[in-house]
Amino acid sequence: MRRHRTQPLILPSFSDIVLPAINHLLYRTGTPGGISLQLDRHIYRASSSSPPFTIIMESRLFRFPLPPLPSAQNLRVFGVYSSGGLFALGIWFFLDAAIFSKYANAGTVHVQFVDWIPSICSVLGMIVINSIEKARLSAESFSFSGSNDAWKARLVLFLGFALMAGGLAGSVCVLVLKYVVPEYPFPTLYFGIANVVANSLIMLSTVVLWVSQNFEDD
Amino acid sequence: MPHAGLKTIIALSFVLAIGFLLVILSSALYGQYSPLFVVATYLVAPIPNAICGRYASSYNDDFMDSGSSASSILDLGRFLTGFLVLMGMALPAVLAHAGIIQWGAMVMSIIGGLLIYGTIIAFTMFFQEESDF
Repeated sequence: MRRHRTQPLILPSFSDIVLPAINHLLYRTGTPGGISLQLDRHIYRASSSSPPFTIIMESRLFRFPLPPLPSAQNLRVFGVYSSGGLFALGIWFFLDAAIFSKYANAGTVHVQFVDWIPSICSVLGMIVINSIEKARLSAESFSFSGSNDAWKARLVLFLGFALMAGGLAGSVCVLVLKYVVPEYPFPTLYFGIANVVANSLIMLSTVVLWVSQNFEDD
Repeated sequence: MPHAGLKTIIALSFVLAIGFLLVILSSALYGQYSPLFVVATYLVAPIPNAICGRYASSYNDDFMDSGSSASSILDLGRFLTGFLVLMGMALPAVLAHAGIIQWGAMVMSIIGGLLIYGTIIAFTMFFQEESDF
């Protein structure tokens, strides 16, 4: 007796039964105004015994797919890169003033060491602020080896912020005392303005770095 | 990541050649060779990232620590890379503002430097798998 060629028993799989039901539900509850629920577009094909049909499950919320939002890790990486960029921008703003004063300055007032002091303070403050292990700051719960180091970290952090704020205030001070009060015209006045811009950019860079490094912990 | 074939290499080398051509033109046309520093800056720019990435991975291997220190090292590399990239753009602008190079040389060297750096980035993106394994 010749048996019929054995057909494998085809059990109805997930995509055969569950997904049409979901699709039907989505269709029934879909808003008539045209917003169809779509999360991702899956195409499920039924197995070879049944007539081939295609289910396109649309479970997205809006018609036009939003570009995927950057993840926290990517935001953090981008923040660190842009912090470096801002720092370079600040440094080179000030160096631009100094080089301009050396090479293309027609006036008698030049960039001297006084102009460098605020930027040096800012850079030192930035190094101090970002060198601190931030886990030490957060609290008394982190007490390593019995001693509580939070106050040390806070003291050093305070020093860093004082250096940075001193740098910014010092640059404004240099701008006012050296360039604005004697009423120099613009190519000379630019030295003071570039100093203030440079210190602000270094401060902004520190803020961006701080925020993006603490971003991950949340 | 698309598969990197021969066409990719040819296109990348073409772009790299255009970038070098622009930078060298910006120097040679005006007889003032300081824009060549842009090339050096962009060539150095990916190095801190690479060094810190390798060091962080070995750090993680040595100390089975949570990644706090390793991520700090990675961040230092990223910071320096961002610094160098912006420096490559700021250097010609500073030189042009100080009257050392012409404004046309500034534009050419910035564009050329961006092409060079884009080539380096694209190359590392395309061939990362081969270098990792």
